[in-house]
Amino acid sequence: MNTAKLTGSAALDGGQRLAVKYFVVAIVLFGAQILFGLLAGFQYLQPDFLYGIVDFSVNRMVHINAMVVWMLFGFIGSIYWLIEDESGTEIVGLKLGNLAFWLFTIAVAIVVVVYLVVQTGPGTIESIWWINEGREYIEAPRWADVGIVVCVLIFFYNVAATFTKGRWTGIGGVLVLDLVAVAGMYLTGMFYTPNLSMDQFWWWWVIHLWVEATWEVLVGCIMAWGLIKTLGARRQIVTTWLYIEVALMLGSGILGLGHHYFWIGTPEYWLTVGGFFSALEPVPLVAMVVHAVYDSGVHRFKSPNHPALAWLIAHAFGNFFGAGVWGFMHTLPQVNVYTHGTQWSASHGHFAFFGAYATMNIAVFYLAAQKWRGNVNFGAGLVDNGWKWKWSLGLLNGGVLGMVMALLVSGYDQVFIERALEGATWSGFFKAQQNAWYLQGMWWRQVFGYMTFAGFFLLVWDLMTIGVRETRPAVFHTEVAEHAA
Amino acid sequence: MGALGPEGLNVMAPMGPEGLDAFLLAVIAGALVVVFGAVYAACFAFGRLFRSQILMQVAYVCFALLIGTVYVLSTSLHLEGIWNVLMVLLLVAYFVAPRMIWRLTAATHE
Repeated sequence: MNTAKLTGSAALDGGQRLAVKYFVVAIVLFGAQILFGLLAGFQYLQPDFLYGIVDFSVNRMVHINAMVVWMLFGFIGSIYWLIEDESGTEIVGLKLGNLAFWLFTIAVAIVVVVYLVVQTGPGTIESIWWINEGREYIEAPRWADVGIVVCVLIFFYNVAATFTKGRWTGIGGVLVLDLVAVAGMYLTGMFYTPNLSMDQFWWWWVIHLWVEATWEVLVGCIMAWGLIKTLGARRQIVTTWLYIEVALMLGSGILGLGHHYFWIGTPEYWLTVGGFFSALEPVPLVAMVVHAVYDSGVHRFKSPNHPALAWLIAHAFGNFFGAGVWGFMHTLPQVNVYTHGTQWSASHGHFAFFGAYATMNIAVFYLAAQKWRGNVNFGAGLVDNGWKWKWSLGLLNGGVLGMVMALLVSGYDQVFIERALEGATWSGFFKAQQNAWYLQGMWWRQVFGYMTFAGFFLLVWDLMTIGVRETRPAVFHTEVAEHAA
Repeated sequence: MGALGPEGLNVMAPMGPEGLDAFLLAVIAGALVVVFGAVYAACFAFGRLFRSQILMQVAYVCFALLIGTVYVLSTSLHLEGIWNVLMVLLLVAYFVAPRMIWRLTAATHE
């Protein structure tokens, strides 16, 4: 059989062409996240470095904001990638989607420039609107917040209208309902109140419910579609599990956000509610081990895209250890009173975000790269033996894990000296910062940060070159099943 | 009761050496609770999959270790009242969840 192989954008549908744009920006922002993280990390070791030029507060802000936005770009791109395939019809409002993409990208670029150039000055209503909203992790000025909501609403319209025009599936239904929450939850971080406890109360809705709940469901939808595509998993099974995930999230995940209400001035019952439901959060993760074992044993899946599958496996382990083990370690208020706000939290944050979200986005990047190259084989026997993806997988995961352990050492030092021995005093804070163990932890974090950057470099190189010289077509198990039927 | 007890929640009183030892024990136990829970679940699932008595026994050994770590967590944090109820609930959830998920998985794959 001699069929011409379609490659590049010619191989893609409309939604996928738009998705590739999102993926490109996501990867650029991923690089920015690591770069500014390295700068901020180095400033822990050499506080004078770039002082007055790009201060630590700015580097840290760009580091975290870049992470939030690259993941959002990755998720939106992933949904656009799967939407025509999943709905069985052409995307509705592709031009609108392209317009939203450019608006979003230009807005992000302007916000970053403002972060870097306008760093100091009085906080006024005008500065909230145009320079910095002042809320940690979501510092984007309010005009950009409004822009994000508008872009998500356009995205919602595109997804809902496309599924309405085509066919509704379980994945599509969950996705559309979740997008209502994605747009709605963000609004809770946009209004101003002079009461700090009240402000923090609503702010956590964005940080926890928006980022950790609505995003989890988005990732669940992408994972469901990804399992069908990479492993040929049956739709009925995948959809059932997606419903279970949503039920668990509503059942324990939402009240589990109470562990962020322990120390912000909310009523004391949050200690019990937050501790109780947070403690039960890892149970579903443990239970899913059973499902993974069952599937691997009964179906003996094979995949024509090894890098994507490897990153999906990294997602499962990263989510389990980063969110489950590292989370439960300090989720009870009796422990959390000593750990919150130390590098311990940073250790958990790095592990959980990388494990739960970054891994999933990278898996989809490899699925996209495969189609871009004309659906060639990304499985066994790649031309260069796949050394680049294997090394980038190892360096990125090893680098992040190394940072996690190093931050844990520094965090424990803070708990030990600042909180336990000194009783959380101002002098205790500085004693901990100057302690040799703390500093060693920060040095090792920096070393593993460089390792992560090397992994990122290889990842980009691999995505640009993987499968270029490959000629064997990929054999997808869904196709095998369909042909057999 | 040391600084880790309920009265220590609102006031971050300095801990003595005993409190520090208990704290370290508590966080290690906390991490091991989830790890033993997962190993129990994995051994249980593999045991059912391969109809292996040995794996099932390993699973129950892991669950016994899980009970031990929950006990260490409870005693090192000096938990009382509702917090100990939570610990019992945790054990029940960790024991029951893999069985329920196995049934559900088998049923949805038929």
